[in-house]
Amino acid sequence: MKPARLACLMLFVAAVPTSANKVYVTNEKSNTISVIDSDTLSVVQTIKAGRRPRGVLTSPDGKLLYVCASDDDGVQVFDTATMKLQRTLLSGPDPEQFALNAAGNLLYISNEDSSEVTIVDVEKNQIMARVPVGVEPEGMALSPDGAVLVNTSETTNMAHFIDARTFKPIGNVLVDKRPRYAIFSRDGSQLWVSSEVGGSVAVIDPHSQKILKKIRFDVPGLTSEEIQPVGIRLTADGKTAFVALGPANRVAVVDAQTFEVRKYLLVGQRVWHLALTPDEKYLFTANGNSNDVSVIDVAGLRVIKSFPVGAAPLGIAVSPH
Amino acid sequence: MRRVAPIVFSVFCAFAAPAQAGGPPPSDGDWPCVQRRAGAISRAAVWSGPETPASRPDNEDAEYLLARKLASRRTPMAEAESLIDQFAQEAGADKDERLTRVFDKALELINAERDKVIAGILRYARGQKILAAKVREEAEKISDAQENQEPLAPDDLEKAHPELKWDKRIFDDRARALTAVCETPVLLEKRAFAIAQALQRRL
Repeated sequence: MKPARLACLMLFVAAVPTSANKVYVTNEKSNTISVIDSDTLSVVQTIKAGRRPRGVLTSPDGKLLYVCASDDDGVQVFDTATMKLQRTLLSGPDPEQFALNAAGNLLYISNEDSSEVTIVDVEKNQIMARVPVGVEPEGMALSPDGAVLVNTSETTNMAHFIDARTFKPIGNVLVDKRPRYAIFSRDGSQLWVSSEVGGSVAVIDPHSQKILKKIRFDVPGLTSEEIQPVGIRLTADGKTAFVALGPANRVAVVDAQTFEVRKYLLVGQRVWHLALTPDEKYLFTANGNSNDVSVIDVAGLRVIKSFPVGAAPLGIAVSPH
Repeated sequence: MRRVAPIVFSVFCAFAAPAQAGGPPPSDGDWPCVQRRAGAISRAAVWSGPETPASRPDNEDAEYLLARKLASRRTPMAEAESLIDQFAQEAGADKDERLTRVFDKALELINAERDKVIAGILRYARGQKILAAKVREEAEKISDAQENQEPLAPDDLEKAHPELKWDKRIFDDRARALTAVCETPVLLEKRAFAIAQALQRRL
């Protein structure tokens, strides 16, 4: 290859971003969604959402964005190409967090005020089932094989296991106070549940419904009340977990095999939820009190940037492509 | 059944709905804010820089002056940033140590202000409780006096009992002001974090 052509090709390669994903942040108090470009690490768009937007996720193909508009009692569906609101789905009262199945046609929504999980057919906008759970349901997770649905209830302090096909309850696991978030490992062998007031994360074997390990956090100089785990993200290889610690203003980096905390990273104030880019290069954190988003370089385990978004950012999701 | 005039009923409703006035958490009866009452801002919650230097220099006037300006919410963040820049440039070989001292002093000042605000909120909450009891008592007296009588229209009732009207108005005004007052400790936490970040960027 001639040098000039090689140089030209290299220039082209350099100019094409390889990992540009969109990151969506729900701003609970400004009723907006901030759209972030994962290449430039900056806000590229701010969209008006319903009242008190909280839970957020994308469809498996990345074409749709779902947002829990909690005070409007609906789930808003945005077209990610145009960021225009397409429609609002039924959700039951006060939808807070939710999960979507792999096919992208069923939403499992926790209704904080009515102590239920509502299952909605996304295409038909039809409620398929309403499952009574504990008081103040919040975290929702679907096992990777789609068989088991898990909901956490903040006041009952349980992870409720529900058969995702029959919508019948199949078990409860008692965890520490105020469980806020649940997530399955990629291979489905573990369920991680964070307890905000209990200050711990329970790692549960979903088959036996036994707690394998309770991870506790000890940030030097902070009181235990200041450590309130909420959002969790696990890397695909199952080796690392990131746990947002709320008013500790830190993200804990946990060895997901030994369950030892490796590091605490200072991000923004009142860190709620987390999102990993699909290439796992970056972890984004929604910081509810400092009204910003911090970016963690996953390989280097350091915070590389923080930038402002709307008021009280809470939920965060990354487009899959 | 005893008939209760509308204003008396509305007074009862106002005191029966604590969420409107902030909603004291069950563990902290006097705390009137929606925001959780938290202790002093921990150093570690906002700072991941060096430890507090063990030795104290002879003269810390420059550090103290800067810390006072940074702690004051009257100093806009842009101005705070340029003051820190200027200080860092002139700080010499002990720059990190001196910036850490500035942070420690600024945090001390912000925490002191926050303590005062929280004490004020608690005083205020106790005052409201006393006022609420007084209004409730007045309303009950009026209600008792009206037993077996045709209830007065709200306007007439207010004219007949001006003390109830005024106490209720004071209570309502204070309850409205509470939203802003309750936000102050949170604003101070934000200020401490922003100042800590700005100082750490210059280390």
